[in-house]
Amino acid sequence: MASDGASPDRVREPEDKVSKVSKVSKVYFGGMSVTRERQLVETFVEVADTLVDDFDVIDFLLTLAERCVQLLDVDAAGIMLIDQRGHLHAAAASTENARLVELFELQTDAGPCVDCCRSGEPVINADLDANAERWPQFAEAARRSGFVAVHALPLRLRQTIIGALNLFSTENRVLADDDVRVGQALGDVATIGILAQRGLYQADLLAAQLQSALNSRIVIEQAKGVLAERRGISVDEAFELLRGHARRRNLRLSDVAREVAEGTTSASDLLGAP
Amino acid sequence: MAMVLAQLNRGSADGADGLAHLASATVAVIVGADGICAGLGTGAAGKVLVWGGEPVSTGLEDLQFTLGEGPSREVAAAGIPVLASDLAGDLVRWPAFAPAAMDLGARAVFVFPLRIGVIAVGTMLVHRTVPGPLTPGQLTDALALADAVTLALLDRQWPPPDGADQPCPGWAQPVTYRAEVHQATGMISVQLGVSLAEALVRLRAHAWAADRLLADVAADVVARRLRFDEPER
Repeated sequence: MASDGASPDRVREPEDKVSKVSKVSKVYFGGMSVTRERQLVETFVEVADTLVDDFDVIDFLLTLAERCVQLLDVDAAGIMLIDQRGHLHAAAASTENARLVELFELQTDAGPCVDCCRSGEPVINADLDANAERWPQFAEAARRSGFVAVHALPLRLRQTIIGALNLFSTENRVLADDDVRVGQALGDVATIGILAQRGLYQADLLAAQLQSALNSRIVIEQAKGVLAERRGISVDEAFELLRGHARRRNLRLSDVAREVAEGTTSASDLLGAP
Repeated sequence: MAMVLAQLNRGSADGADGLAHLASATVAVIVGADGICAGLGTGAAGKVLVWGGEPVSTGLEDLQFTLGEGPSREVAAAGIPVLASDLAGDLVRWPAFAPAAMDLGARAVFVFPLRIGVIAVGTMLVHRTVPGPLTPGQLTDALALADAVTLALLDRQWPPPDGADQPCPGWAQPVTYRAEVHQATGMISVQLGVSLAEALVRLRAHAWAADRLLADVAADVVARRLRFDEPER
């Protein structure tokens, strides 16, 4: 377990089974590999299953970010949302690693997601060396983490931009048109998920929906802090504990995070002895 | 709205209660409303009115407490804003509250949660005497105001420990900006054995007293370079 201080230079995806499978796609059919086509179908079925449930928006976005890494030719992914004052916030990342999260936070003023959200146009295959002046802080931090190229696709609801899907590559591979299309489709799914949160009475209340998603994210951060301090671990490790616990017990990540943050007795096995 | 937030900021920096000096009537005009008020408390025990004295807004809060239904209760329970832009269309949703609210002269009611993550302080109610939605700009202002009022109420609840003349941290540094601020809040709450709300106030007060950026102090806490349960050097 890499703690904050001892992170490897490169932000790496955990090598789980699915991501390995995704890289072995050789059989092409109509321009798209059969393996990937099947994975895409599975992803969209998974999404459809999620959205009919009483789903957890941040957990949903985390899964989507992971699927981006498995389905596209990229090494890390994250979803940024705009708050009511026009600031970008990280809602979910393919790896909840402090270094990767920092790359999202550094884009408050300048970065591919800011450009993408301002123009409404995707930023594709942006070389970090070539953009060192355009995004000085971001480009330097991203290169330090081992990335060489970055992409940002707009999350759009009709005329309104609500955020961006941010993709990172550790090698200078060109993101193909096909990948861009799939990425945009996954981004559109993220938008649908954010807008489909339960308990939102007004269909057109975008600002409230975004605020609700961002507040769910704050709850998770507060819970990470409580758990890290109680167990003497890093906040990254605390996140892994939270998510693993929610998954194993089939609980909503937000509910587990809320219980931990509030110190509810049902969270006592996670929190350990005080 | 920037001026309103600056006014809150100035009040805080002077050691005064920024909220106490801010006329809710002025803010209401800016948000495009006819009345505005904020209440502490989210439980079934109801609310304590802490800001705004405009009779219709406060009357709407009283009504909800009496009738046991209404937007503020839903906001307190779900933590999501409720925007009822035409009460005449909400007679099924709130069969007792909607007609009573219209009798008071309200035609639209907008209620916002006052919260930061799991820190839930209360709700802010805005009303209008004519139906119609808030414009996107008014909605943005109302949400920004709700954030500022949340922090003002937290500061009021936990005044600085070293005496009343010590100013509270200002508004200039947004709290909801950085993940590390919320992580540090969680860590400090465990270190001090206090609520997350109090931990956030202590974190902001520390940043203010040390004249440092909130984000930098939070980063020190998360990296375990700074603890709040050790005496200051």
